This record gives sequence, structure tokens and C-alpha cells, in this order.
Amino acid sequence: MEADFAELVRANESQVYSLAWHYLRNRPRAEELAQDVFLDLYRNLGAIQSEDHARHWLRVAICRRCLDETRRRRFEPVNGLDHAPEPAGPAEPGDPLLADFLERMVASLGGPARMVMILRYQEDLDPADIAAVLDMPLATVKSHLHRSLEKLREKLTRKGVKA
Amino acid sequence: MKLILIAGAAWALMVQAQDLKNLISLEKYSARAAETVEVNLDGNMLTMASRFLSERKPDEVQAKRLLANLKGIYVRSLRFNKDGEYSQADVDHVRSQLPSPQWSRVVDVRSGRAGGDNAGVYLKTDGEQIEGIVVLAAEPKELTVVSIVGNIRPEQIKELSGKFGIPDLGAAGASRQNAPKAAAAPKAAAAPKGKDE
Amino acid sequence: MNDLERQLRHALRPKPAPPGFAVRVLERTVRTRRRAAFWIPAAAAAGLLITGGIVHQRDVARGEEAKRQLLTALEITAEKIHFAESKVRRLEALEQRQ
Repeated sequence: MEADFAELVRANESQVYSLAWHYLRNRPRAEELAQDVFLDLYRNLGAIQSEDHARHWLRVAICRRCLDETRRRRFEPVNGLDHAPEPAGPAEPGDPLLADFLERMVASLGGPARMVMILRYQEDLDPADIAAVLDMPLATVKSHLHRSLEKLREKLTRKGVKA
Repeated sequence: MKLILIAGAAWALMVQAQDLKNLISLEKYSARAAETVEVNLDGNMLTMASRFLSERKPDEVQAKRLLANLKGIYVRSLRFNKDGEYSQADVDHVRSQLPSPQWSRVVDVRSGRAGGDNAGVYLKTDGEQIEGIVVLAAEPKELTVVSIVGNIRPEQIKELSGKFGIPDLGAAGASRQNAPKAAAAPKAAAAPKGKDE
Repeated sequence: MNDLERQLRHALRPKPAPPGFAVRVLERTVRTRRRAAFWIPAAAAAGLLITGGIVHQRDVARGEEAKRQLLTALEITAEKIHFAESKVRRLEALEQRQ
């Protein structure tokens, strides 16, 4: 059982940590929540049926912890959008400055919308899967996606960045 | 402070943990430690424990083999909520109790920076036979000293790494298997309903 | 998928967990097992004392408790030997790089 659990940690640590990091933009807190989630998994290992089940379990658990975090603490990202370095010109594929800017823009979204965007673009989940993970109506997920993308496009356009 | 005492002395046995009593004193840190683990198992307690070990579970079978020539196992482990709660002088004091040539330093890692990790594995020999081991682990928020008294073979020490619930992280390669999509989600508070921006 | 979505996928790509993350998780699971081991035998021993055959049951409880202490001690020893070994391996890796 211990070897199985260690393997699950190694296979999923990046995904879990990354979800928390993109959401919270706070490394120590992201690691703390990610560790808590794996500890919960360890306590519930008997109920896990497969590696895919574990992956889904972890995804749901970390999303819920992150959302609880912002509800409880009204947690705000360390650097607000106004302080983000701006891309100078038209976006290039893989432009690191643009990537950083987009990360911060996503982090400035409200909690549920932020998590929807992270699940869509980090985890590559389709809206129906996102709805299942977040226990959210499909229409709400689609609305978050649509409105968030519109907002991002609008902000990038205002900054003179073509995306 | 949460003090967790596991003591053979709970049954009114005053243990002469000479190897460990002289090595490190817990009392001065008890108020600051978030968690304290203390184990005192002398020869009698080890014999008693051995009778209750399973013949089928691999870890317990291995433990029984280890116990065959041991006279005592003593543990002091303190965990703190923040760095810097114990003194480097106590770590140095442990080392000073293990002088050569009686003690050989199998592992002796010392951090160059204050509050860094220190680790050591020391063997006591009488020329040919090992008479004891001391394991020292000093981390920023945790200090642990283990003393095993008795004859233990080097390969048994090696076997201790990666056993008893401590997986060998380096051994297994990652292998992802495709499995049916997950059916159950973890039981937890439901996610809040999404609010529009 | 349009340009913005491609760039979002790039920006939100998974980040590696911090070094040593898995080890820290596993160390926490060991501590969790240790804590769980302390209170259950105390409760079990108390329950056994209520019924007949008190002396025998007390010996059984003592033996079980000694066994749990032993396994806890060996777990801690294994964990710290593993810790010491990993320190050595790390130093060796650093030396090889220089």
C-alpha cells in the first residue's frame, strides 16, 4: 500500500500543486494545500479503485480546498493585475511575458471563474468534466468560460496586445 | 504543546537508557515542541514485543529477525512548529558522545548554514561485532535521535532504509495505466455555486 | 482553439512540484500513522479491563503496546536512515556536477 501511495504522489504531485499554485499564486500555501490533499488521499486509499480514480479524486479535492480557502480568507493574489509587467507588443507564441501576464489575469478573476479557467487550460477538461469536478451546472461553467475569455481579450486589446 | 509519551515506563519500568539519556535531554524542549515521541524498549520489552509480532506480515517478520540480538531501542523525536527551536549545541553534544575509535561514522552530513539539515549514522563496534547504532537527524523543524543497543548486522541497517512504511522513492519508475474513468468523487463540502463576474 | 486559448494553455501549463515535495508528503503520512497508533491501544486496553480475565488481558494489552512502540521506533529509524542516505546522495550528485 505504501509503495502504491508513493507512486500516486509522484504521478500526481505536479498536477495537484500546479492547480493550487495557479489558483492561489502563493507557493507556500499552494504546497501546504497540496500536501493536505495527499494526506487526505492516504487516509482514503481504501476507497480508490484505480490511478484514474485517484487523479480525479485529487483534482476534486484540491479544487474544493482552494475554493474554500478564498471563501474563508478572502485570499487575494500577492501581486494584483496592476503590478504585472506588461507585454510590450504583439504577442508571440510562447512569449514568457505574455504567459506571465495571462497567469496574473486569470488569477485576478473571481474564485469559481478562476478555477474553471485553470481546469480548462491546465487540465484540458471539457466543460462537462469541469461541471462534474466543481459540482457546478454546465451552463454556469460555460458562462464562466465565455465571460472570462471575453474579459481577457478586452484587457489584452486595451493594452495593445494582439491575442 | 502536545506531548505524546510512549514509555515502557508506563508499566513502572525505569529504563536505564544509558545510551540515550546521556545523548540528549528532552525536558528543556518539551514546552516548545508541537509533538514529542519517546520510546524506551529495553531487553524485556523487546522480548515481549517479539511475542506479538506477526509471522505473516513481512515488516513484522523482518522486525522479529532484527530483535534477535538487540538489547534496547530508544527514540527521542521532537517536532516544532517553526525553525530554530532547538540548539545546534545539542546536536554537537550528541556527536561528542560518539567518539572514535569506539564509534565509526558511517554517515556524517553537516550543513554549512545555520538551521540546515544535519544527518548521521554511527556504529559502535568492539572490533568485529557491532554493539549499537545511533541515528541522528536534525532538520529545521524536527530533531530525532535513535539509539539501538545490541548486535545488528550492517545489511540489516541497509534493509531498514525503504522499509517499515518508508517507500524507496528512487526505486519505482512512473507507470501510468489507462483505467476506466473515475466514478466516485471525494466526500467533502460541495463547491460553491458559481457567481458571475 | 484560437490564439488566446493556445496562449492560455501555455501560460497555465502544469508547474513542477517543489523539490522534495513527495518526501515531505510521505513523512507526514508516517507521523499520521504514529499519532493514530498511540490512542487506539489505550482505548482497547481500557475496554478489555472491564471484562473478566483482567490479568491476562492486561498482559495482552502490554504486549500489543510494546509491539506498536517497536514498530514505531523501527519506522522512525528507517525514515531517518533514509533521510541520511538522501543527504549523502544529494551531496554526491552536487560533487559530480562540479
